Amino acid sequence: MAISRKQALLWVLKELASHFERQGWHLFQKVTSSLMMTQEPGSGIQHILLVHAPFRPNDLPSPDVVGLSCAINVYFPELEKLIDEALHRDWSNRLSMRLPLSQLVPAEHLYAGNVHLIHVGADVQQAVQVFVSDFAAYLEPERRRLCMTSVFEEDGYQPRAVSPWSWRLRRAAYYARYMDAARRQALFAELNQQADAVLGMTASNDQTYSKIFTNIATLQRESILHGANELRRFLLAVQ
Amino acid sequence: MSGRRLAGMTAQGLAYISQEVGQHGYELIASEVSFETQSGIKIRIDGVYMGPDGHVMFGEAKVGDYADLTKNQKVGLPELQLGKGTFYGENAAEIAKALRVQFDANGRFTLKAEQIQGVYIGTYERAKPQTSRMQNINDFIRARGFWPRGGDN
Repeated sequence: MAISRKQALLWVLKELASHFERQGWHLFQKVTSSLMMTQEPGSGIQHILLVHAPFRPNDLPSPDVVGLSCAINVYFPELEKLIDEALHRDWSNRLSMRLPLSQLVPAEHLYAGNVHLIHVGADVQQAVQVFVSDFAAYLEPERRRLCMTSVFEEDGYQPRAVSPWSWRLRRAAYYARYMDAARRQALFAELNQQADAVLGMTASNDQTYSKIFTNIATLQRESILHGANELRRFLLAVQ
Repeated sequence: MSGRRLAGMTAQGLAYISQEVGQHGYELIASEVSFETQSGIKIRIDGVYMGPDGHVMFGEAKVGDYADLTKNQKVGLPELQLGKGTFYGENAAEIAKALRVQFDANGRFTLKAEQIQGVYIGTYERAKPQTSRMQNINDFIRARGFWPRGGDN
């Protein structure tokens, strides 16, 4: 008897849960329409693995597939607390950075640039094989780099799929929290210069922009401006 | 237009916009997401995405010669981008989990304006993405004062 898409998704997610449990992940909650697992790779660091199906079944190209998306949320609580305080947020950010598998694998492995299509009805281990091997080849190496806070001391390193400004902000928070004054000031001077270069470059243009976009270039420009501005506000607060 | 054709165009639009923004680092978190604004307007939007800087971006795809924003979208999207929207429905909890924000027993949650990058409207015609109608739609909406004139063009 043919199984429904909902059953097929559950079937695939349960197989993945077993696979990831063998890799050291712990189930966070019962598997339903998504899979959520955690790891604490180092003191004060939390990794959360999320697998879900963001497209509705009818939006996929075939009735015989489920479209899986996967990402790891990385959380450095101490750094986020420092950033929240410095930026005077009235809310707590519980997500330091996100590593989506879709941003790391070759585009031809994905449907609509976002999901792995898993063919249901076949052997379940075989069905998830490409997904699992892509996770191991592309996402796991990036995640492993983020198992220790000392990664922020590595000059020139920046995780793929994370914006440079988001990374610089966390790096600045790490230096503010853990590094001696000389090293802290050296990094802050460099980051200030980078932020000023971006913000100064746009000073002559209009600085009032809406948050409704119809082209990607403007969307990205806004993201860069926001990131540079946030970093500069943080540096001013902690210096 | 028949329901089947409309559904087909919606699916096509979502695939187009996801492909387009995906090339620039945006990941689809959920599709066909419902929210209610502070002023009580109920809206559905094609996709919720997360950008490489950890902010949320809402995506709305318009496919076909006569596609346009709905009346509610024209009024509600500017409210949404300011963080004045409550998410609800079957996809809401999934988004909340992905973003690590608190949600209530019914899966409802809100985002802070600071967490929202904005709304991206992708306009596509027939079988391949095009940009020719973007400016017209943008001008139409701005002319009615639904959102401010600014850097987008």
